[in-house]
Amino acid sequence: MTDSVSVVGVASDGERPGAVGMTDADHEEVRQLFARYSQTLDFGDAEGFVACFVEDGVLDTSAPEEGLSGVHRGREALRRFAVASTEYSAGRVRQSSLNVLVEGDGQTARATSYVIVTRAYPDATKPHLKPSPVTRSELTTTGMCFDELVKVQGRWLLSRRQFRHDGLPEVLERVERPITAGALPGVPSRS
Amino acid sequence: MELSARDFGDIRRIDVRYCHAVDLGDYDARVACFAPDGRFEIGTDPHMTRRGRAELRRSMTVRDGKGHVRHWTLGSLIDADRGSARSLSAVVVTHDFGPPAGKGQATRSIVIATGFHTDEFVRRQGRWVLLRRRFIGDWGEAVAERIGKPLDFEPVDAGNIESELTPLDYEAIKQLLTRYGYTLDFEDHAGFASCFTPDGVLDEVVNRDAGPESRVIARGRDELWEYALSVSDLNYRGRVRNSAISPLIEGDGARARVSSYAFATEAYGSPELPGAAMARMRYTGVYRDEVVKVDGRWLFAKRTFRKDTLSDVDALVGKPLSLELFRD
Repeated sequence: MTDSVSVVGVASDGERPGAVGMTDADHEEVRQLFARYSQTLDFGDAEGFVACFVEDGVLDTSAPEEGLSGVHRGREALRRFAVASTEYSAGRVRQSSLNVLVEGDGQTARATSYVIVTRAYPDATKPHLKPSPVTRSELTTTGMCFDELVKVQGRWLLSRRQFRHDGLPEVLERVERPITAGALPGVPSRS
Repeated sequence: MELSARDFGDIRRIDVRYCHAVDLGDYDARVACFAPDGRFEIGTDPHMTRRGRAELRRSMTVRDGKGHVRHWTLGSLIDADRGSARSLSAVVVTHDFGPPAGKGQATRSIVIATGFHTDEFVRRQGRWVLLRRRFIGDWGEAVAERIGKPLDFEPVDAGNIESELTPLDYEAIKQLLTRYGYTLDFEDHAGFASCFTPDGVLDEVVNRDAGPESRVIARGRDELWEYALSVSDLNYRGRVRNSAISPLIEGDGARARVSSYAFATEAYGSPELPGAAMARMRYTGVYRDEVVKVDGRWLFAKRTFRKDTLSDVDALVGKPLSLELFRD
């Protein structure tokens, strides 16, 4: 990917001094990583999902479902998470990261993004919907991802991802505080 | 003036910071998105206009939303405008209901409104800032006024590098996905057809097990124009918003494949009850596209779409992710 290195931190990353070194290509590659994370997870590509993380990567999620909740550390645990997620979602759940806020130095980065989750239903399974050949989808939940990323051999990978549903205290604690990319120091890991 | 990849990126990052700042109540960060003489407007009501940073600062509060409201930018068109820049961004607003009622339950969220941010940006002291941001709801006249008119945003000129995808190529491809939705929703039939190559193809299946009549195949710009006309016959009048999110793009600077999620919403109109939802989800699905660069402009050579729960989408589950188009 052709690009030039950002030398103006203010212009490239808002107003945070020292946030130099992230190129336009870096920003885009992080967004592509998040799209790949979503699509491998939603379509049940466990190996592709695991490859979004570094070897000892960590996923820490507030998902309440058995097999999904808590901390998943390392590739085998991440693989089990992906398999459990596919069993739960049956390929009908879509989760997308939007409003991706990234700060970093070109080798490591932190990101905070919004996550919107939908589920699709063939009408027969939703008694409150009129019978119809038209499928319907509903917004089920929203949340935020707080990420740490590292560039390995030219590729951005997740070293740690925390997902918290909107409305949980850990997210509400961020209200009326300066926005920042990545986890707040005060957000505890669930390990 | 043409915008560089850096300009596009900086402008998009202002929007991201704005959404985070508004939703999480970082008043200073929100105000810093604006020029000192910047202003924020809601609809066409002059009483809802805030001018200058002091007014903007005083007007902002998250008390009503208590940190439970989120503004999501689903797609943006951005172009240069006589030394400044402007953008048109589709926005969905959600509200969550707080901690779950019981163990094993996730928090729930709903769509409460949809609309657009129409923005003007200027460069001050080397950085882009908002000179004007206006929110218009999908239920209002300001959106209806756009119906049937040509979309007046220039496509991105992505240049002629063919060996690899540049940041400008990614920007141009993402704006193509957005342009597709806007031209369809605002009934710009010629603009819609021009998102495709002259022999471009749209192949979509929208209904489950409803037979061959549920499938649309439009080949070439005349048929694509007719397809757009058939959608406007449904009389959505700008209330349905078609967006493509989570775009995953692979290829080089001449040809690429794109996989993205369709995210369609429908606005009801102004609520009679304050606080009631004004919009809802309509459907989701999967786009698989082949796009090509022609004279610096990215176009659809083939766009395939299947709604979620259809067999073609279910068949993707459990296999290595590839960006193959949906086939017959």
